[in-house]
Amino acid sequence: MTRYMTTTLLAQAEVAIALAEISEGVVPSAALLDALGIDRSGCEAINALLVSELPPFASIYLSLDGNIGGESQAEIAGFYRAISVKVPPNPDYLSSLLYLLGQIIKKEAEVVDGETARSRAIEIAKLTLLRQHIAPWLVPYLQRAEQIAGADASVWIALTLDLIASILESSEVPTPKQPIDEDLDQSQIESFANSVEFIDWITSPLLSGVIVAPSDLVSIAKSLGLATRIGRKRFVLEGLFQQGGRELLAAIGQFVAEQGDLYLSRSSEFEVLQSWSKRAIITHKRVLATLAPY
Amino acid sequence: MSSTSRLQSAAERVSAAREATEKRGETFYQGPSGIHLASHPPFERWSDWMELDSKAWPTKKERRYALIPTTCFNCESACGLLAYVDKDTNQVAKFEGNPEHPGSRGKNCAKGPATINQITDPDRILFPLKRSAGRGEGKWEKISWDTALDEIAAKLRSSITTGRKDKIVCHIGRPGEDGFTERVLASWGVDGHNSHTNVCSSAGRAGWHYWTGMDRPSADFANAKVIFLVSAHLETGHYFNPHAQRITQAKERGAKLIVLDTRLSNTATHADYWLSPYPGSEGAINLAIANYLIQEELFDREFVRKWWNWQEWLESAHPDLGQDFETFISLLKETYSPYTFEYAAAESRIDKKVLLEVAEIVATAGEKFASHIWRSAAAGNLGGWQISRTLLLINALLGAIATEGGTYPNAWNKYVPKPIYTPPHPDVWNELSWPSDYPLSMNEMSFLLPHLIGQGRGTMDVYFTRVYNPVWTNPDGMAWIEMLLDESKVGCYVALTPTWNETSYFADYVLPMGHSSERHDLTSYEQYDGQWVAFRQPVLRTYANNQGGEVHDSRDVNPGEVWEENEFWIELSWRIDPDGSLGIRQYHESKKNPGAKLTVEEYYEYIFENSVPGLPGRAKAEGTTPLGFMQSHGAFEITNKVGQIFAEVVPENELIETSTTQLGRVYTSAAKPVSTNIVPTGDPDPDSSGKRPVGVVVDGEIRRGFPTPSGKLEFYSKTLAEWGWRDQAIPNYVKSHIHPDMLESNQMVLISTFRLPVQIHTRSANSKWLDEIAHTNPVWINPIDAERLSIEETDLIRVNSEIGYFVAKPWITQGIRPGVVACSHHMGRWKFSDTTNSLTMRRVELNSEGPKRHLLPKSPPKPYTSSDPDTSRFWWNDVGVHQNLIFPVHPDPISGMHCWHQAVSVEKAHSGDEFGEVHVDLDKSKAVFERWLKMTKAAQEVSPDGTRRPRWLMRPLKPTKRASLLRPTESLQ
Repeated sequence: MTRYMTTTLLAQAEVAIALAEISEGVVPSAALLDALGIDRSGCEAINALLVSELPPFASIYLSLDGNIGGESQAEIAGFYRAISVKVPPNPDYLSSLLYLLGQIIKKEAEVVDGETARSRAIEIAKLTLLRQHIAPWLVPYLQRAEQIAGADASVWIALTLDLIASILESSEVPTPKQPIDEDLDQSQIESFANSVEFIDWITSPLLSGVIVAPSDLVSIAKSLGLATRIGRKRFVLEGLFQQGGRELLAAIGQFVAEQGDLYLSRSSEFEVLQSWSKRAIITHKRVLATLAPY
Repeated sequence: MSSTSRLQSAAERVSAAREATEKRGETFYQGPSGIHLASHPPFERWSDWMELDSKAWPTKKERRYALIPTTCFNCESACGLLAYVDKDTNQVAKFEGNPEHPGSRGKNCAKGPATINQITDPDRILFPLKRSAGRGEGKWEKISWDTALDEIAAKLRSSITTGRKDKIVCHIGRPGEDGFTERVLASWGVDGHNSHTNVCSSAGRAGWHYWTGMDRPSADFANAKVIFLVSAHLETGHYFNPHAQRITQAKERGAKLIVLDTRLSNTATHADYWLSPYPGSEGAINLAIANYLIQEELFDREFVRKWWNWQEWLESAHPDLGQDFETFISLLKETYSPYTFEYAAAESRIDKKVLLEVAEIVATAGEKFASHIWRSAAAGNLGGWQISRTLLLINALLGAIATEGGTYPNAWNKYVPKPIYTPPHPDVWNELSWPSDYPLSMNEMSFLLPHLIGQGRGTMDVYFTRVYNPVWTNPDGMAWIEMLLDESKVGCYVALTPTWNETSYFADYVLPMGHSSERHDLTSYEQYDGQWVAFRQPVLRTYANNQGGEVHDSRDVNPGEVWEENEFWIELSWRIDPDGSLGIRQYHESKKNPGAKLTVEEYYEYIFENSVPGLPGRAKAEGTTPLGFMQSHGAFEITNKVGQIFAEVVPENELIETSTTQLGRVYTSAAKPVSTNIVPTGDPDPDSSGKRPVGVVVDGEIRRGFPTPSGKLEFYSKTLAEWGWRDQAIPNYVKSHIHPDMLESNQMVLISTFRLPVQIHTRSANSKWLDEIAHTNPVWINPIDAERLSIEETDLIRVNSEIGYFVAKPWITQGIRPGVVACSHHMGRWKFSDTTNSLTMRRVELNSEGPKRHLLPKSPPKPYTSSDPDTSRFWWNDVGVHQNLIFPVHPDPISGMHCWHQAVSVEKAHSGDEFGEVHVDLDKSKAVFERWLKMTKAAQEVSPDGTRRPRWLMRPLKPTKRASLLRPTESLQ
């Protein structure tokens, strides 16, 4: 391994662990915030995003039901065990994932010259973690974060995207095609049978290609003069559909279309955004198909 | 600029900041999601920690705290706590874990944080009280500390100066600081230490002591391959948190957990193998596993050859056979061959295939076999100490003694720093605490006190209970009440307690003592393979000092006039001997200012500067004093990975004019090297010329060995053989007093020894969070038994023992095996009047009718108005039943342990029975005591050398040789 490669790996590891710390939601040390150029308001904006708007659990964005837990957590726990690090209570939480990524990269940097098989195995583990459990949701998540948290969180968002890009661009291992992409190629456009089916769909980022934050629903409701109830997204949506049907669906459709465009804006840098965009387009078309008879 | 370049630039800045921060000894990364302990506030910010006020939400109101460390004072394990002192109110706002504590590592069970309930309990005792009417009438007057100290000191001085030193007894509940009270009593020349250990752990200890010369296990759970627990204690009492977290660590790594517990305990629910044996048969299971290892030759032959005293067994028990190792192995096989899986299955009622499966797993552990036993089976059964001994047999066969993942003797994982004074041991022997009927008892026969006094063996001038509640905790509580009510038997009773309890109602003086954050103690416990000390301190005193304030003593900062014990004992000792003429005061004087009173600051300053290796250097590196370090960090790890001390080669300078016995015990004229660790162990006698034992020859090398007479692991206890118990000299199975052969056809076994994880006998009765979690103790009964007895869960039941009965509620559950019922202690608290409030005490009436005593419930606890609004809204009124009252004393003839399990009959309650009532016949309780007393072999009959007790055995206070003689005027033989 060349000195340059080692330096790059150590830099990636350091930043991954630093970002894990920032994403934890605790108050990080002032020295760390200074080094990253994040001020107090930035820290508060990130915390508000993580706690109130978009909970950063991989399983929410990578499971069909959009809930925390399930296979995704179990698979990530396996990475922890493989490197003999205690599995944290929520292994798929963003800070845990970044910490894990940092530890794996550290191990990669520690490999002695000549240990090619070991080096390769660690690199594959790192890329598998990144490509299957981090990048597929974190890239679109950060795009949404930029919209919601605004400029205060921009340093954190940019550095996290840099970390992902840096690891991906330094890899020579090709990205395998994901099963979801194949499904998208064969998707049929059907209208939604009722509001329940729509809510199931829209609250699953994996199905809909859309990451909806509570503040998005509040904005849509305000624009239509509807009252919002406080609770889980599903509950809020049920409340909104009790007040309005067609206009609401149209407004959400518009929101979905905008999300599809958002993904496309950076899909040349991050390939994963292409499938998110495709899914958002399918969702939008299904909304239009549902509205067509009216 | 590419993403990698931007990343590298950021990484350089972060690395530089991290290195600069860590160079200052500070924490840079607090760590995500509990991966690190740094999820706690990092140490460098403890002096000014900010949290948002949760009650002010959504407003972000900042509150600033000083975090002062202390240790928990609930169970024994002394886990680290951080007191959050609110800088606005100067009061403790909450308690959380101390990540600097090497035993608990920042984690706590529910009892730790609930300390805030204890210190803010609106009904705690805040001032010294003196009885103002007849004893037990519940009338008190507030007095000053000066009055209390002067009056009590005068009584003590009178006893000490009139040859009545044996009439002073101090009965210890929760241990505070290792050896502190013993040293106070030693300074008075009094053999008055009386512990609760014989109702607690002395059988578990005895089994260990006869093997190793040390009296409890310290399992290296975290590194074990197989963990074998004959106990429920891990989840319900001592070491719940430090042990449980290490067992969890081992399980995460794939270790197998085997739990022997008749009841489905919390620990058992986490086990790979939960074995529910018939109570008392655990020894048979242990021996069947040992026999399997022996017959299949799956044991560590070299370890056994080198470290067991097999030669002594051959020489003493089989002198006619060959004295070589192969003969020993043959005999070993023959001796244990009856303990087949079939035999163990018949005794335990567990399928022999399961027992074989477990044995096969045990055999895979090798040196990584971590076992533990504490109360449970050892405390429940006649011969329970042999259950402990047979468990250690498995470790000794596998060579899993003081190995990584094995089991250590506690003394090697513990550090008791030498204090400023160590007064000589007394020249008197207290026959009430150490009666010669029980020469081998591991600890004081404290639970027999009412019966021994009842037999006219003595009286007490001054009796202290220190955070102890014998009326409620001990068996046969009615006998205790009888004794305490008789002023001719107990001249003066002083209760040192933080909260009201059933025994303190009978006191003459009730003196308020501090909880965890209100007192000083220095603790060290065996929780992993390492040695540490932790500092309990009055946190507001340290906070005030840090702010530049002056504190005269702990009463200045504690609620009301609550005091800490250390200062109390120093002050009391001065008042007993104000002019120093009795030789007492010298042990409580300042060394820095001769003639002045010793302060607690100087006491700990001395210890931390002189007796804790590594601490002064570490403190200096942080720019503070050793005392300052302990006040700010709360704990210090002296060493870890202690290793096999027994295998260390004895250095040349300790080998002067040595003599060696035929079996390899080496004695020396060289003085014992000075050690600052005074952890108690067995103390084998010197040889006939006065040389001290220094080691043992193993394969031609003199090694340190064990603190046993032979210097080796004593598979064969010559002590037991010589003191009349030859048949029990090797690990053996003793059929319990509740063995099926001993039961009447209508009887079942009652297991009464298990704890509720969130309660602690003497201190949690008014801890609202803990009481909300657990406040009652229904009787566990298997559905098969419930059906047989036509009992439903809505019924009340009567549980009948030999001396009485109580009325309780049943809980029908598969968590207990058929033929056995179980009831937790901790519950069934009571009081005589409503003058004191409580969350878990029902008001009762105590009636007498000849020898019969009736405890009748009058009213359940009710919500009440106080300074804490929560007391007006507690919702429970079922507070369980006080079961221990119907247990007669069952002293084990060897270990002296009270054998808790009871043969009982269970039936539906009779018409008119009321939940919580208890009825006892004192004549019957006396008869049971006398029956068990006949099982002993008194020192007068069996002592081989005229002493009252083998002198090498551990004893908190160790009277002089003269005082140890049955006839002190004669010389030792």
